[in-house]
Amino acid sequence: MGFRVGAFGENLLIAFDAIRVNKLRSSLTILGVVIGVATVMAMAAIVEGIRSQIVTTIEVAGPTTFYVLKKFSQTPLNPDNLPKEVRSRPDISELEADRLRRLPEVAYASMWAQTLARIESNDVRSQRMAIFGADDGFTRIQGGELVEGRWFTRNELSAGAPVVVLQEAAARSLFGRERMLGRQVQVGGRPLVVIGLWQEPGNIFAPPGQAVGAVVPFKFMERSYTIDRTNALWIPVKPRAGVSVADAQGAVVMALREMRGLRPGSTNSFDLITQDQILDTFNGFTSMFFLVMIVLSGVALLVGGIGVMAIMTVSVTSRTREIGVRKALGATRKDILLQFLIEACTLTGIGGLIGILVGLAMGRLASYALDISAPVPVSLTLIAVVVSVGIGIIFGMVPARRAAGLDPIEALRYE
Amino acid sequence: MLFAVVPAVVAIGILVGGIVIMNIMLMGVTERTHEIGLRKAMGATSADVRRQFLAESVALAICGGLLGVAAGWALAAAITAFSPLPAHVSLWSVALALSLGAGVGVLFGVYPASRAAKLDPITAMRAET
Repeated sequence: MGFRVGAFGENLLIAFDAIRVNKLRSSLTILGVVIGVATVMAMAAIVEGIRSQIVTTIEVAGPTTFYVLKKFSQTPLNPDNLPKEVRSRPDISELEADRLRRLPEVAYASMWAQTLARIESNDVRSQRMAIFGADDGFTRIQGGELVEGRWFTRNELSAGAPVVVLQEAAARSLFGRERMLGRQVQVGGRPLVVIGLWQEPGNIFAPPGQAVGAVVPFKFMERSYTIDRTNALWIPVKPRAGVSVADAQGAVVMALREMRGLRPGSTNSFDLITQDQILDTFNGFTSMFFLVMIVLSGVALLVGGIGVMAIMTVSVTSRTREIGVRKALGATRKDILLQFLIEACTLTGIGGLIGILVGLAMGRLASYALDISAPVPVSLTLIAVVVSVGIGIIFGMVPARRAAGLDPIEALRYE
Repeated sequence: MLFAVVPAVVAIGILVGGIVIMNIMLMGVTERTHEIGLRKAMGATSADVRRQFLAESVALAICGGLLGVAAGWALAAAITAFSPLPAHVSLWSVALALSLGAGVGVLFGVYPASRAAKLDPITAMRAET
Protein backbone atom coordinates (compact mmCIF):
# COMPACT_ATOMS: atom_id res chain seq x y z
CA MET A 1 0.00 0.00 0.00
CA GLY A 2 2.84 2.32 0.91
CA PHE A 3 4.28 1.76 -2.53
CA ARG A 4 1.01 2.74 -4.22
CA VAL A 5 0.78 6.01 -2.33
CA GLY A 6 4.41 6.68 -3.15
CA ALA A 7 3.76 6.01 -6.84
CA PHE A 8 0.79 8.37 -6.80
CA GLY A 9 2.85 11.12 -5.17
CA GLU A 10 5.63 10.61 -7.69
CA ASN A 11 3.14 10.79 -10.56
CA LEU A 12 1.82 14.04 -9.14
CA LEU A 13 5.36 15.45 -9.01
CA ILE A 14 5.96 14.39 -12.62
CA ALA A 15 2.68 16.07 -13.57
CA PHE A 16 3.68 19.35 -11.91
CA ASP A 17 7.07 19.13 -13.63
CA ALA A 18 5.44 18.66 -17.01
CA ILE A 19 3.19 21.64 -16.33
CA ARG A 20 6.13 23.80 -15.27
CA VAL A 21 8.19 22.90 -18.33
CA ASN A 22 5.36 23.80 -20.73
CA LYS A 23 4.13 26.91 -18.96
CA LEU A 24 2.29 28.60 -21.84
CA ARG A 25 0.69 25.45 -23.17
CA SER A 26 -0.41 24.28 -19.72
CA SER A 27 -1.73 27.64 -18.61
CA LEU A 28 -3.80 28.00 -21.79
CA THR A 29 -5.25 24.54 -21.23
CA ILE A 30 -5.98 25.36 -17.60
CA LEU A 31 -7.54 28.66 -18.72
CA GLY A 32 -10.01 26.75 -20.87
CA VAL A 33 -11.08 24.62 -17.90
CA VAL A 34 -11.18 27.69 -15.64
CA ILE A 35 -13.58 29.49 -17.97
CA GLY A 36 -15.74 26.40 -18.31
CA VAL A 37 -16.00 25.73 -14.57
CA ALA A 38 -16.49 29.41 -13.76
CA THR A 39 -19.33 29.72 -16.28
CA VAL A 40 -21.17 26.73 -14.89
CA MET A 41 -20.65 27.94 -11.32
CA ALA A 42 -21.83 31.45 -12.03
CA MET A 43 -24.83 30.18 -13.98
CA ALA A 44 -25.80 27.81 -11.21
CA ALA A 45 -25.50 30.63 -8.68
CA ILE A 46 -27.68 32.92 -10.80
CA VAL A 47 -30.26 30.22 -11.34
CA GLU A 48 -30.32 29.48 -7.62
CA GLY A 49 -30.72 33.19 -6.88
CA ILE A 50 -33.58 33.62 -9.33
CA ARG A 51 -35.29 30.56 -7.92
CA SER A 52 -35.23 31.85 -4.35
CA GLN A 53 -36.37 35.23 -5.68
CA ILE A 54 -39.41 33.69 -7.28
CA VAL A 55 -40.29 31.90 -4.09
CA THR A 56 -40.10 35.08 -2.01
CA THR A 57 -42.02 37.01 -4.66
CA ILE A 58 -44.84 34.52 -4.67
CA GLU A 59 -44.88 34.38 -0.91
CA VAL A 60 -45.35 38.16 -0.73
CA ALA A 61 -49.06 37.56 -1.11
CA GLY A 62 -48.97 35.66 2.16
CA PRO A 63 -49.02 31.91 2.40
CA THR A 64 -52.73 31.91 3.23
CA THR A 65 -54.02 33.70 0.13
CA PHE A 66 -55.69 31.47 -2.43
CA TYR A 67 -57.35 32.12 -5.76
CA VAL A 68 -60.69 31.17 -7.31
CA LEU A 69 -60.66 30.83 -11.08
CA LYS A 70 -62.50 29.14 -13.90
CA LYS A 71 -59.90 26.51 -14.64
CA PHE A 72 -56.44 25.96 -13.24
CA SER A 73 -53.98 24.69 -15.80
CA GLN A 74 -50.20 24.60 -16.06
CA THR A 75 -50.18 26.57 -19.29
CA PRO A 76 -52.67 29.23 -20.42
CA LEU A 77 -55.64 27.70 -22.23
CA ASN A 78 -56.50 28.79 -25.75
CA PRO A 79 -59.80 30.68 -25.24
CA ASP A 80 -60.97 29.82 -28.77
CA ASN A 81 -60.46 26.11 -28.34
CA LEU A 82 -61.39 25.13 -24.80
CA PRO A 83 -61.81 21.58 -23.62
CA LYS A 84 -65.49 20.65 -23.30
CA GLU A 85 -65.50 20.47 -19.50
CA VAL A 86 -64.12 24.00 -19.33
CA ARG A 87 -66.49 25.43 -21.94
CA SER A 88 -69.48 24.37 -19.87
CA ARG A 89 -68.16 26.23 -16.84
CA PRO A 90 -69.60 29.70 -16.20
CA ASP A 91 -67.19 32.65 -16.00
CA ILE A 92 -66.25 33.87 -12.54
CA SER A 93 -68.54 36.82 -11.81
CA GLU A 94 -68.47 39.93 -9.65
CA LEU A 95 -71.58 38.75 -7.87
CA GLU A 96 -69.65 35.75 -6.66
CA ALA A 97 -66.77 37.92 -5.48
CA ASP A 98 -69.22 40.10 -3.51
CA ARG A 99 -70.74 37.03 -1.90
CA LEU A 100 -67.32 35.65 -0.91
CA ARG A 101 -66.32 38.96 0.60
CA ARG A 102 -69.29 38.79 2.98
CA LEU A 103 -68.31 35.34 4.30
CA PRO A 104 -67.26 35.49 7.96
CA GLU A 105 -64.15 33.40 7.22
CA VAL A 106 -62.90 35.79 4.55
CA ALA A 107 -60.95 39.01 5.13
CA TYR A 108 -60.58 40.01 1.48
CA ALA A 109 -62.08 38.81 -1.77
CA SER A 110 -62.50 40.79 -4.96
CA MET A 111 -62.71 40.47 -8.68
CA TRP A 112 -59.38 40.83 -10.48
CA ALA A 113 -58.40 40.71 -14.12
CA GLN A 114 -55.24 41.15 -16.12
CA THR A 115 -54.40 42.17 -19.64
CA LEU A 116 -51.33 43.27 -21.58
CA ALA A 117 -51.12 46.83 -22.88
CA ARG A 118 -48.76 49.72 -23.54
CA ILE A 119 -48.67 52.87 -21.44
CA GLU A 120 -48.17 56.05 -23.43
CA SER A 121 -48.21 59.78 -23.02
CA ASN A 122 -47.54 62.31 -25.78
CA ASP A 123 -44.70 60.63 -27.64
CA VAL A 124 -43.31 58.23 -25.01
CA ARG A 125 -44.48 54.66 -25.21
CA SER A 126 -43.75 51.66 -23.01
CA GLN A 127 -43.36 47.97 -23.77
CA ARG A 128 -46.45 45.83 -23.37
CA MET A 129 -46.86 45.42 -19.64
CA ALA A 130 -49.25 43.61 -17.36
CA ILE A 131 -52.21 45.85 -16.51
CA PHE A 132 -54.31 44.76 -13.54
CA GLY A 133 -57.97 45.46 -13.03
CA ALA A 134 -58.47 45.34 -9.26
CA ASP A 135 -59.64 47.42 -6.35
CA ASP A 136 -58.18 49.42 -3.45
CA GLY A 137 -57.00 46.19 -1.76
CA PHE A 138 -54.36 45.61 -4.42
CA THR A 139 -51.37 45.78 -2.04
CA ARG A 140 -53.01 43.33 0.37
CA ILE A 141 -52.45 40.62 -2.22
CA GLN A 142 -49.56 41.88 -4.36
CA GLY A 143 -47.50 43.52 -1.61
CA GLY A 144 -45.49 46.68 -2.19
CA GLU A 145 -46.82 50.07 -1.16
CA LEU A 146 -48.38 53.26 -2.42
CA VAL A 147 -45.60 55.86 -2.51
CA GLU A 148 -47.57 58.80 -3.83
CA GLY A 149 -51.22 59.76 -4.27
CA ARG A 150 -54.10 57.49 -3.30
CA TRP A 151 -55.97 54.31 -4.25
CA PHE A 152 -59.40 54.23 -5.91
CA THR A 153 -62.40 55.54 -3.99
CA ARG A 154 -65.63 53.54 -3.57
CA ASN A 155 -67.30 55.70 -6.18
CA GLU A 156 -64.50 55.33 -8.69
CA LEU A 157 -64.63 51.56 -8.21
CA SER A 158 -68.36 51.19 -8.61
CA ALA A 159 -68.48 53.58 -11.58
CA GLY A 160 -65.34 52.16 -13.21
CA ALA A 161 -63.85 55.65 -13.41
CA PRO A 162 -60.93 56.22 -15.84
CA VAL A 163 -58.24 56.53 -13.17
CA VAL A 164 -54.98 54.63 -12.88
CA VAL A 165 -52.29 53.82 -10.31
CA LEU A 166 -48.99 53.45 -12.13
CA GLN A 167 -46.16 51.17 -11.09
CA GLU A 168 -43.49 53.58 -9.89
CA ALA A 169 -40.45 52.19 -11.74
CA ALA A 170 -42.40 51.92 -15.00
CA ALA A 171 -43.69 55.47 -14.62
CA ARG A 172 -40.20 56.80 -13.86
CA SER A 173 -38.65 55.08 -16.85
CA LEU A 174 -41.35 56.61 -19.04
CA PHE A 175 -41.67 60.10 -17.66
CA GLY A 176 -38.53 60.62 -15.59
CA ARG A 177 -38.80 62.82 -12.53
CA GLU A 178 -41.84 64.74 -13.75
CA ARG A 179 -44.77 65.06 -11.40
CA MET A 180 -47.17 62.28 -12.27
CA LEU A 181 -50.29 62.87 -10.18
CA GLY A 182 -53.16 64.39 -12.12
CA ARG A 183 -51.50 63.77 -15.47
CA GLN A 184 -53.27 62.08 -18.29
CA VAL A 185 -51.76 58.90 -19.76
CA GLN A 186 -53.06 56.37 -22.22
CA VAL A 187 -53.17 52.74 -21.27
CA GLY A 188 -53.98 50.44 -24.16
CA GLY A 189 -55.23 53.49 -26.09
CA ARG A 190 -57.67 54.65 -23.36
CA PRO A 191 -57.12 58.01 -21.65
CA LEU A 192 -56.75 57.75 -17.85
CA VAL A 193 -55.89 60.12 -15.03
CA VAL A 194 -52.96 59.14 -12.80
CA ILE A 195 -54.02 59.17 -9.14
CA GLY A 196 -51.22 57.24 -7.47
CA LEU A 197 -47.85 55.55 -7.75
CA TRP A 198 -47.40 52.02 -6.49
CA GLN A 199 -44.00 50.60 -5.66
CA GLU A 200 -43.43 46.92 -6.29
CA PRO A 201 -42.26 44.81 -3.36
CA GLY A 202 -38.45 44.84 -3.22
CA ASN A 203 -36.36 42.37 -5.15
CA ILE A 204 -39.16 41.19 -7.35
CA PHE A 205 -38.25 38.85 -10.17
CA ALA A 206 -40.12 39.77 -13.31
CA PRO A 207 -39.85 37.55 -16.35
CA PRO A 208 -39.66 39.57 -19.61
CA GLY A 209 -43.00 41.02 -20.68
CA GLN A 210 -44.57 40.30 -17.32
CA ALA A 211 -43.65 43.46 -15.43
CA VAL A 212 -46.67 45.09 -13.80
CA GLY A 213 -47.27 48.48 -15.41
CA ALA A 214 -50.48 49.83 -13.95
CA VAL A 215 -53.61 49.10 -11.92
CA VAL A 216 -57.06 50.35 -12.97
CA PRO A 217 -60.49 49.82 -11.34
CA PHE A 218 -61.81 46.38 -12.27
CA LYS A 219 -65.04 47.81 -13.71
CA PHE A 220 -63.06 50.07 -16.02
CA MET A 221 -60.99 47.18 -17.25
CA GLU A 222 -64.02 45.02 -17.87
CA ARG A 223 -65.70 47.80 -19.87
CA SER A 224 -62.73 49.11 -21.84
CA TYR A 225 -60.48 46.18 -22.66
CA THR A 226 -60.93 42.71 -23.98
CA ILE A 227 -60.19 40.31 -21.16
CA ASP A 228 -59.37 36.66 -21.54
CA ARG A 229 -62.20 35.52 -19.26
CA THR A 230 -60.82 32.01 -18.93
CA ASN A 231 -57.20 32.65 -17.98
CA ALA A 232 -57.03 36.22 -16.75
CA LEU A 233 -60.06 36.55 -14.50
CA TRP A 234 -59.86 35.45 -10.88
CA ILE A 235 -60.82 36.17 -7.27
CA PRO A 236 -57.98 36.37 -4.76
CA VAL A 237 -59.24 35.34 -1.31
CA LYS A 238 -57.48 36.17 1.93
CA PRO A 239 -58.83 34.33 4.99
CA ARG A 240 -59.51 36.29 8.14
CA ALA A 241 -56.77 36.09 10.79
CA GLY A 242 -57.20 32.97 12.92
CA VAL A 243 -59.12 31.09 10.21
CA SER A 244 -57.24 28.18 8.66
CA VAL A 245 -56.80 28.05 4.87
CA ALA A 246 -58.71 24.77 4.76
CA ASP A 247 -61.71 26.23 6.63
CA ALA A 248 -61.77 29.31 4.42
CA GLN A 249 -61.54 27.17 1.29
CA GLY A 250 -64.38 25.02 2.55
CA ALA A 251 -66.57 28.06 3.11
CA VAL A 252 -65.71 29.46 -0.33
CA VAL A 253 -66.51 26.17 -2.07
CA MET A 254 -69.83 25.89 -0.20
CA ALA A 255 -70.85 29.43 -1.06
CA LEU A 256 -69.96 29.12 -4.74
CA ARG A 257 -71.67 25.73 -5.13
CA GLU A 258 -74.80 27.16 -3.55
CA MET A 259 -74.77 30.21 -5.85
CA ARG A 260 -74.26 28.06 -8.91
CA GLY A 261 -76.90 25.56 -7.82
CA LEU A 262 -74.62 22.54 -8.06
CA ARG A 263 -76.16 19.25 -6.90
CA PRO A 264 -74.41 17.34 -4.17
CA GLY A 265 -71.97 14.89 -5.72
CA SER A 266 -71.41 16.88 -8.90
CA THR A 267 -67.95 18.31 -9.49
CA ASN A 268 -67.07 21.96 -8.86
CA SER A 269 -67.44 24.20 -11.89
CA PHE A 270 -64.50 26.33 -10.71
CA ASP A 271 -60.99 25.75 -9.36
CA LEU A 272 -59.21 26.87 -6.21
CA ILE A 273 -55.45 27.19 -6.18
CA THR A 274 -53.15 27.86 -3.27
CA GLN A 275 -49.72 29.45 -3.15
CA ASP A 276 -48.13 26.02 -2.94
CA GLN A 277 -49.76 24.96 -6.18
CA ILE A 278 -48.62 28.14 -7.89
CA LEU A 279 -45.09 27.50 -6.66
CA ASP A 280 -45.19 23.93 -7.94
CA THR A 281 -46.43 25.07 -11.33
CA PHE A 282 -43.79 27.73 -11.49
CA ASN A 283 -41.05 25.30 -10.53
CA GLY A 284 -42.18 22.82 -13.16
CA PHE A 285 -42.33 25.59 -15.72
CA THR A 286 -38.93 27.10 -14.99
CA SER A 287 -36.83 24.07 -14.07
CA MET A 288 -36.71 23.04 -17.73
CA PHE A 289 -35.54 26.50 -18.70
CA PHE A 290 -32.94 26.52 -15.94
CA LEU A 291 -31.71 23.07 -16.93
CA VAL A 292 -31.19 24.32 -20.48
CA MET A 293 -29.21 27.30 -19.15
CA ILE A 294 -26.90 25.11 -17.11
CA VAL A 295 -26.41 22.58 -19.91
CA LEU A 296 -25.63 25.45 -22.25
CA SER A 297 -23.00 26.79 -19.88
CA GLY A 298 -21.59 23.26 -19.70
CA VAL A 299 -20.67 23.55 -23.38
CA ALA A 300 -17.72 25.76 -22.48
CA LEU A 301 -16.56 23.10 -20.02
CA LEU A 302 -16.87 20.45 -22.73
CA VAL A 303 -14.76 22.52 -25.11
CA GLY A 304 -12.20 23.01 -22.33
CA GLY A 305 -12.12 19.23 -21.84
CA ILE A 306 -11.48 18.71 -25.55
CA GLY A 307 -8.59 21.16 -25.19
CA VAL A 308 -7.16 18.98 -22.41
CA MET A 309 -7.46 15.94 -24.65
CA ALA A 310 -5.67 17.68 -27.51
CA ILE A 311 -2.81 18.82 -25.27
CA MET A 312 -2.43 15.41 -23.67
CA THR A 313 -2.34 13.73 -27.07
CA VAL A 314 0.43 16.04 -28.21
CA SER A 315 2.20 15.56 -24.89
CA VAL A 316 2.15 11.78 -25.38
CA THR A 317 3.56 12.10 -28.89
CA SER A 318 6.37 14.41 -27.86
CA ARG A 319 7.26 12.18 -24.91
CA THR A 320 7.25 8.92 -26.84
CA ARG A 321 10.94 8.36 -26.09
CA GLU A 322 10.43 9.01 -22.40
CA ILE A 323 7.63 6.45 -22.35
CA GLY A 324 9.90 3.97 -24.12
CA VAL A 325 12.63 4.44 -21.51
CA ARG A 326 10.15 4.04 -18.67
CA LYS A 327 8.79 0.85 -20.13
CA ALA A 328 12.28 -0.48 -20.79
CA LEU A 329 13.10 0.14 -17.13
CA GLY A 330 10.13 -1.93 -16.03
CA ALA A 331 7.09 0.41 -15.94
CA THR A 332 3.88 -1.52 -16.60
CA ARG A 333 0.99 -0.39 -18.84
CA LYS A 334 -0.89 0.56 -15.69
CA ASP A 335 1.94 2.80 -14.47
CA ILE A 336 2.05 4.72 -17.74
CA LEU A 337 -1.76 5.00 -17.88
CA LEU A 338 -1.82 6.32 -14.34
CA GLN A 339 0.97 8.79 -15.04
CA PHE A 340 -0.87 10.46 -17.91
CA LEU A 341 -4.26 10.29 -16.24
CA ILE A 342 -2.85 12.04 -13.19
CA GLU A 343 -1.26 14.66 -15.41
CA ALA A 344 -4.60 15.34 -17.10
CA CYS A 345 -6.41 15.45 -13.76
CA THR A 346 -3.81 17.83 -12.34
CA LEU A 347 -4.44 20.19 -15.26
CA THR A 348 -8.22 20.08 -14.86
CA GLY A 349 -8.02 20.06 -11.06
CA ILE A 350 -6.01 23.28 -11.01
CA GLY A 351 -8.41 24.70 -13.59
CA GLY A 352 -11.35 23.63 -11.45
CA LEU A 353 -10.01 25.25 -8.29
CA ILE A 354 -9.28 28.56 -10.01
CA GLY A 355 -12.61 28.26 -11.84
CA ILE A 356 -14.46 27.98 -8.55
CA LEU A 357 -12.88 31.20 -7.28
CA VAL A 358 -13.64 33.02 -10.54
CA GLY A 359 -17.14 31.56 -10.60
CA LEU A 360 -17.81 32.73 -7.06
CA ALA A 361 -16.67 36.22 -7.98
CA MET A 362 -18.77 36.19 -11.16
CA GLY A 363 -21.82 35.00 -9.24
CA ARG A 364 -21.33 37.80 -6.75
CA LEU A 365 -21.01 40.32 -9.57
CA ALA A 366 -24.07 39.00 -11.37
CA SER A 367 -26.10 39.18 -8.19
CA TYR A 368 -25.27 42.88 -7.93
CA ALA A 369 -26.03 43.48 -11.61
CA LEU A 370 -29.34 41.59 -11.58
CA ASP A 371 -30.19 42.80 -8.08
CA ILE A 372 -30.83 39.31 -6.75
CA SER A 373 -29.13 37.30 -4.05
CA ALA A 374 -27.07 34.55 -5.67
CA PRO A 375 -25.73 32.31 -2.95
CA VAL A 376 -23.35 29.55 -4.01
CA PRO A 377 -24.16 26.42 -2.06
CA VAL A 378 -21.16 24.57 -0.64
CA SER A 379 -22.31 21.39 -2.33
CA LEU A 380 -21.94 23.15 -5.66
CA THR A 381 -18.24 23.86 -5.15
CA LEU A 382 -17.70 20.21 -4.18
CA ILE A 383 -19.51 19.14 -7.34
CA ALA A 384 -17.34 21.53 -9.37
CA VAL A 385 -14.15 19.95 -8.02
CA VAL A 386 -15.41 16.42 -8.68
CA VAL A 387 -16.59 17.37 -12.15
CA SER A 388 -13.32 19.02 -13.14
CA VAL A 389 -11.26 16.04 -11.98
CA GLY A 390 -13.77 13.77 -13.71
CA ILE A 391 -13.26 15.74 -16.93
CA GLY A 392 -9.54 15.09 -16.58
CA ILE A 393 -10.19 11.34 -16.33
CA ILE A 394 -12.67 11.26 -19.22
CA PHE A 395 -10.68 13.37 -21.65
CA GLY A 396 -7.31 12.08 -20.42
CA MET A 397 -8.30 8.46 -20.96
CA VAL A 398 -7.79 8.31 -24.73
CA PRO A 399 -4.28 9.88 -24.75
CA ALA A 400 -3.27 7.91 -21.63
CA ARG A 401 -4.35 4.63 -23.22
CA ARG A 402 -2.41 5.56 -26.31
CA ALA A 403 0.68 6.16 -24.22
CA ALA A 404 0.17 2.93 -22.27
CA GLY A 405 -0.27 0.93 -25.46
CA LEU A 406 3.03 2.08 -27.00
CA ASP A 407 5.49 -0.67 -27.88
CA PRO A 408 8.69 0.03 -25.85
CA ILE A 409 11.01 -0.95 -28.71
CA GLU A 410 9.24 1.29 -31.24
CA ALA A 411 8.99 4.07 -28.67
CA LEU A 412 12.70 3.97 -27.90
CA ARG A 413 13.53 4.15 -31.61
CA TYR A 414 11.27 7.24 -32.03
CA GLU A 415 13.12 10.51 -32.55
CA MET B 1 -32.36 40.48 -18.90
CA LEU B 2 -32.43 36.77 -18.35
CA PHE B 3 -32.25 36.02 -22.05
CA ALA B 4 -29.17 38.19 -22.47
CA VAL B 5 -27.35 35.43 -20.60
CA VAL B 6 -27.74 32.95 -23.47
CA PRO B 7 -25.59 34.76 -26.08
CA ALA B 8 -23.07 35.53 -23.32
CA VAL B 9 -22.74 31.83 -22.57
CA VAL B 10 -22.39 31.06 -26.28
CA ALA B 11 -19.65 33.67 -26.54
CA ILE B 12 -17.82 32.05 -23.63
CA GLY B 13 -17.96 28.67 -25.40
CA ILE B 14 -16.48 30.22 -28.53
CA LEU B 15 -13.78 31.94 -26.46
CA VAL B 16 -12.70 28.61 -24.97
CA GLY B 17 -12.69 27.09 -28.47
CA GLY B 18 -10.45 29.93 -29.60
CA ILE B 19 -8.06 29.32 -26.72
CA VAL B 20 -7.83 25.65 -27.71
CA ILE B 21 -7.01 26.66 -31.30
CA MET B 22 -4.34 29.08 -30.09
CA ASN B 23 -2.84 26.40 -27.89
CA ILE B 24 -2.68 23.85 -30.69
CA MET B 25 -1.20 26.40 -33.09
CA LEU B 26 1.45 27.38 -30.55
CA MET B 27 2.44 23.75 -30.21
CA GLY B 28 2.41 23.41 -33.98
CA VAL B 29 4.87 26.31 -34.22
CA THR B 30 7.15 24.75 -31.60
CA GLU B 31 7.06 21.36 -33.27
CA ARG B 32 7.75 22.79 -36.69
CA THR B 33 10.50 25.18 -35.70
CA HIS B 34 12.91 23.31 -37.96
CA GLU B 35 10.51 23.50 -40.90
CA ILE B 36 10.05 27.25 -40.35
CA GLY B 37 13.82 27.71 -40.28
CA LEU B 38 14.14 25.77 -43.53
CA ARG B 39 11.42 27.87 -45.20
CA LYS B 40 13.06 31.07 -44.10
CA ALA B 41 16.46 29.85 -45.27
CA MET B 42 14.93 29.09 -48.66
CA GLY B 43 13.76 32.70 -48.96
CA ALA B 44 10.37 32.85 -47.24
CA THR B 45 9.80 36.24 -45.63
CA SER B 46 8.35 36.74 -42.15
CA ALA B 47 5.10 37.80 -43.82
CA ASP B 48 5.01 34.51 -45.76
CA VAL B 49 5.40 32.48 -42.57
CA ARG B 50 2.81 34.57 -40.76
CA ARG B 51 0.35 34.12 -43.61
CA GLN B 52 0.99 30.37 -43.64
CA PHE B 53 0.15 29.93 -39.97
CA LEU B 54 -2.79 32.34 -40.05
CA ALA B 55 -4.23 30.45 -43.02
CA GLU B 56 -3.79 27.22 -41.09
CA SER B 57 -5.66 28.44 -38.01
CA VAL B 58 -8.42 29.97 -40.13
CA ALA B 59 -8.74 26.70 -42.04
CA LEU B 60 -9.00 24.83 -38.73
CA ALA B 61 -11.61 27.25 -37.44
CA ILE B 62 -13.67 27.14 -40.64
CA CYS B 63 -13.61 23.32 -40.58
CA GLY B 64 -14.90 23.55 -37.03
CA GLY B 65 -17.50 26.09 -38.11
CA LEU B 66 -18.77 23.84 -40.93
CA LEU B 67 -18.99 20.81 -38.64
CA GLY B 68 -20.69 23.04 -36.06
CA VAL B 69 -23.29 24.19 -38.58
CA ALA B 70 -23.97 20.56 -39.53
CA ALA B 71 -24.28 19.56 -35.87
CA GLY B 72 -26.48 22.56 -35.11
CA TRP B 73 -28.72 21.75 -38.06
CA ALA B 74 -29.06 18.16 -36.87
CA LEU B 75 -29.82 19.35 -33.35
CA ALA B 76 -32.50 21.75 -34.61
CA ALA B 77 -34.03 18.93 -36.65
CA ALA B 78 -34.02 16.71 -33.57
CA ILE B 79 -35.68 19.45 -31.49
CA THR B 80 -38.37 19.91 -34.11
CA ALA B 81 -38.96 16.17 -34.22
CA PHE B 82 -39.01 15.46 -30.48
CA SER B 83 -40.37 18.63 -28.90
CA PRO B 84 -43.25 21.01 -29.66
CA LEU B 85 -40.80 23.84 -30.44
CA PRO B 86 -40.49 24.60 -34.14
CA ALA B 87 -36.71 25.10 -34.22
CA HIS B 88 -35.40 26.09 -37.60
CA VAL B 89 -32.02 27.07 -38.99
CA SER B 90 -32.06 30.31 -40.92
CA LEU B 91 -29.55 31.39 -43.52
CA TRP B 92 -28.28 34.26 -41.42
CA SER B 93 -27.48 31.98 -38.51
CA VAL B 94 -25.38 29.78 -40.80
CA ALA B 95 -23.59 32.87 -42.11
CA LEU B 96 -23.09 34.14 -38.56
CA ALA B 97 -21.69 30.79 -37.40
CA LEU B 98 -19.24 30.54 -40.29
CA SER B 99 -18.02 34.11 -39.99
CA LEU B 100 -17.69 33.66 -36.23
CA GLY B 101 -15.61 30.55 -36.87
CA ALA B 102 -13.33 32.34 -39.34
CA GLY B 103 -13.11 35.34 -37.00
CA VAL B 104 -12.04 33.14 -34.11
CA GLY B 105 -9.41 31.54 -36.35
CA VAL B 106 -7.93 34.93 -37.25
CA LEU B 107 -8.16 36.35 -33.72
CA PHE B 108 -6.54 33.42 -31.96
CA GLY B 109 -4.16 32.63 -34.83
CA VAL B 110 -2.45 36.03 -34.78
CA TYR B 111 -0.27 35.37 -31.75
CA PRO B 112 1.07 31.93 -32.77
CA ALA B 113 1.58 33.16 -36.37
CA SER B 114 3.56 36.20 -35.28
CA ARG B 115 5.64 33.97 -33.01
CA ALA B 116 6.42 31.74 -35.96
CA ALA B 117 7.20 34.73 -38.16
CA LYS B 118 9.62 36.19 -35.62
CA LEU B 119 11.76 33.02 -35.42
CA ASP B 120 15.40 33.50 -36.34
CA PRO B 121 16.13 31.14 -39.28
CA ILE B 122 19.57 30.13 -37.98
CA THR B 123 18.40 29.14 -34.49
CA ALA B 124 15.28 27.58 -35.98
CA MET B 125 17.33 25.40 -38.35
CA ARG B 126 19.42 24.27 -35.41
CA ALA B 127 16.32 23.11 -33.50
CA GLU B 128 15.76 19.36 -33.43
CA THR B 129 12.87 18.03 -35.47
